[in-house]
Amino acid sequence: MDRKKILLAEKEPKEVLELRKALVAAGYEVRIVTNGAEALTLVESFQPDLIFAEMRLPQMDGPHLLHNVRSLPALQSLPFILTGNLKTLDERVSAMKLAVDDYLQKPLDPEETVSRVESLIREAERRAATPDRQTRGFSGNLGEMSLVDLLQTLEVGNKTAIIRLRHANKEGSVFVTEGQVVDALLNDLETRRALLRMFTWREGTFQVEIRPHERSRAFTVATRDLISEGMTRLYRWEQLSHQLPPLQSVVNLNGEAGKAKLSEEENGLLQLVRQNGAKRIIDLVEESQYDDLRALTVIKNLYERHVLKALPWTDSPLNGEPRPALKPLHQNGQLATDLISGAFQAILKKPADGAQRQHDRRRSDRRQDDRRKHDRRRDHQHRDKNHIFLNKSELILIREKLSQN
Amino acid sequence: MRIGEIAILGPGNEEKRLFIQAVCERLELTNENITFGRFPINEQLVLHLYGVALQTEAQAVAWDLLAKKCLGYIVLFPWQDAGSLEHLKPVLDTLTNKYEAAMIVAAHVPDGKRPVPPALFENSIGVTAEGKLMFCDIRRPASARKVLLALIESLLDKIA
Repeated sequence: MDRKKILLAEKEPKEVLELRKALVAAGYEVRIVTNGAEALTLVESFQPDLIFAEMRLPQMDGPHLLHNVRSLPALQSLPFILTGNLKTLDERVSAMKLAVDDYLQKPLDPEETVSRVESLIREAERRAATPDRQTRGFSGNLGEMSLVDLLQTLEVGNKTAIIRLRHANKEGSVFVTEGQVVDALLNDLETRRALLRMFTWREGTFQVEIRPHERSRAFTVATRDLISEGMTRLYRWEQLSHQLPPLQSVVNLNGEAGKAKLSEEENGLLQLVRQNGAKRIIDLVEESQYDDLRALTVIKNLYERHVLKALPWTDSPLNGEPRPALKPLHQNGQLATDLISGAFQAILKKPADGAQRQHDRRRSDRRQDDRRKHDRRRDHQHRDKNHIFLNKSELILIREKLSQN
Repeated sequence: MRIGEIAILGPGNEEKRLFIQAVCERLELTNENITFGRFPINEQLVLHLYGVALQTEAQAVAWDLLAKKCLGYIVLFPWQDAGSLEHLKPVLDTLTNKYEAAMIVAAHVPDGKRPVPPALFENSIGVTAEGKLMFCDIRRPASARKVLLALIESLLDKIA
């Protein structure tokens, strides 16, 4: 296996001899240079896995070397440690604020430094192996969280995400930008119809990827209105469903079908059964040319008038299909999703609409500015922001320790 | 010795005490104002966990001192009493607006009474630019440490 390479930039090589020994003993190939310009030249040919540079180097100091290395796209995430003998806390905090992975105060402890080097290189390898580290999200069952619940959650959190839904053998996607639905895909359905259809899916799975996407806005309606429509449709869908056998049930024409007086809509829907024989109710809805709710209403009417009959499960030509899923889980009489939604509401202020939201944000910014000015007047030492007082490599060590337990 | 400090907030002292005990195994100090535990990482590095009450003026001063130097915050509340978060809203507003601090909102769900899908239980959901919501059982060390891990991940993301 190739040895990992460390580029050590130190104006007094004697000061890092012990460290060099420790790094070589740990299996690293080490190259020492005595100024920043030489280090920058060597970066391309030596291709180090980590750069270790003194703050006050001749010709090009550590921070400038860091800046030049970071300006090369291929080296933006190359682990970089600065070292020095900074006297004040402010100087050290300033050093840590640079885009550096670690700052180590001299004199260096070779053993501790090697441990930091190892953890930073491991972290870089881990990041390289999982390039899409920014992708976060969650997944679950549509019976527990419907598309409406997911959109509400993303809207409250103002998130950009892709929701992938799987239902029976179908797969659809909904694209959300800063909490607003921008596009939806399902087979070759038109955007709005695709979304409305997915609103009624209460069986299947979902996966939410919280990450940027490149879809532009295909919806002109506000997400809140879409959610409201989705909730209404979901309610009506469930009402209709309760008046029918499970939607996975197979239906066929009854003997009375020929005698009944049928509307054009009803005839159109029955044509699907006449042509292809017995069908599941849900397939009838999805294959019909009508809106889902309209189709389900027509099926319910046909079922109530005994034009359509449900086949017993054992007679069904599709009995290899799974039985209908269980009802959504409840706890203390409340839907789990209601509980989640309640918690979000408790944590976050409900976002206001359009102009009102902008107005609130401006007002909040002004208040924040005023508070900061006041704080500065009161106490020059007071900081506006919370600083992270540990280095990246220390945080990585903590993460590793916590992951072990 | 390098020290990273983390503040644990929440409506109940008992939750904070249990959480710190689960992470640190042993409490260094506990009284009505503060609970304190150490979590050693190595000989050079240690995490200090402070469970701070926020009710009295004296506690608010302690909090103000801590707020300036801690790495981030864990806000603990019992899931069954989501309304208790209302009491913390001013504190959360201050943390997110003034300090832009890393924050994890952790809902304590006793084992066996999970109200949400396991995927949500295990994973965190972003609630603000700085904060995440996750579920945990504060009596289980592995679960409590996952919350701490999420905070560290959040800090690493901030400086990435």
